[in-house]
Amino acid sequence: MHANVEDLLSLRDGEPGSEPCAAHVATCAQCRDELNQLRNVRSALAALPMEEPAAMAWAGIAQRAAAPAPRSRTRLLATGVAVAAAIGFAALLVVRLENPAPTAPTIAATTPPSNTAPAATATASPIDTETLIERSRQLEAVLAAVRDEPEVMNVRTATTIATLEDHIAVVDYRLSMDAEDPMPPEQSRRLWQQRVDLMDSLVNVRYAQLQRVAYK
Amino acid sequence: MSQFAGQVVDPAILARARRGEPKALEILYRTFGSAVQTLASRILQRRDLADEVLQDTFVEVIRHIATYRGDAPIGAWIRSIAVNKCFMHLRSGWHRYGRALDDAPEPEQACNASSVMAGRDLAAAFAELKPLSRSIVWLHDVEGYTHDEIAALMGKTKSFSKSQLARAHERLRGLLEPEMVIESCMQMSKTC
Repeated sequence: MHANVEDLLSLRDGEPGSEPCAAHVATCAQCRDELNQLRNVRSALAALPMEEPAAMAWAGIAQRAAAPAPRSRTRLLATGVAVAAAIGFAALLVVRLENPAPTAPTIAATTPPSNTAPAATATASPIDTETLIERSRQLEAVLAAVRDEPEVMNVRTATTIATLEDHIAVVDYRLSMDAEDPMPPEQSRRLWQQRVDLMDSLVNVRYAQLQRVAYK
Repeated sequence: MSQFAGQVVDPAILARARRGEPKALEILYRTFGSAVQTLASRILQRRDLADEVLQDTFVEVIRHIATYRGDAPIGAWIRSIAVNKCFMHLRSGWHRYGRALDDAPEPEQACNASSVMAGRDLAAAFAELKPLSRSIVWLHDVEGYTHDEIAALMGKTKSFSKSQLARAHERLRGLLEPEMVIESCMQMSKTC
């Protein structure tokens, strides 16, 4: 019996519990070759040539970090109105999709933004995955209306936005892995719920922040 | 060895960078720019996306360096930002194209394609791995991430990370030496 690749990798990486595999490799030329091959691949990957940034990359980075694109107050006001309309429209769609009775909308378009945690979506029973995916699309559309960064942004807001975006990236990455390693439907539903909550918070933060700048 | 870990930054430069001094920030960029570009290029396999990751990473470094507490090496901090940016691009690719990105019939079908030849270049073979596999191989084998760290990053288990790494290596082996029969060695029991 030969060692499998996972065990050989554990041995290569010096992980605990590899002693039996090490004992086998010491007596098996085929597995020894395989182990050497795995070591060679690791070394060869690490030795691949470095990629150099474009010559003018730093200038672009410094410029972008120092001076966000200026925007006129008129444009800010117009964008604010457009975003408010988009949020209202999205909220209306969600209410229609989910609650035929005209009660509590689940996207809180006027709720104050949370700086630390995603807004909870108040629902009596779990929302199904298809509805969550649809709501996620609507929120993406709303966010697309607030693509430009405002001229003024305080550090706390910027950090909150970056944190939310990072959390969304992680959730999306986990969802994207579903194709390779399918997860149970309930786990998938929970991830989509998490995504909607995070997107909801992000929309609220961006909208509130836009309002602060526009009406100063 | 990770290019991030191999770079040392003078504490005085770091202190100046944390105060937002442009020259010190540029030194940070000159120190870690290639490492970020390489990481992003290897994981994303697209120059334009790697350029974006480079820019997004250093814009975030500049804006948030005042919050860097120094409890991890600066290279590890910059690398974690770059890895997150890479993941954002992977998810936007998935988001834009739906699941087609990961549903592509890559493993066996591609392996039999005429483009796969013996002695194939490692970089080209690595580029043929799925984004998920590429990420795990690069983070583990080159950047030195542990399986626990990868599992935490991806919201998966340690055994998922280990099995994905093993599958990726089997795939690489198949691409590099397609004529080689990797027969029983890959499927034997865990007992050696």
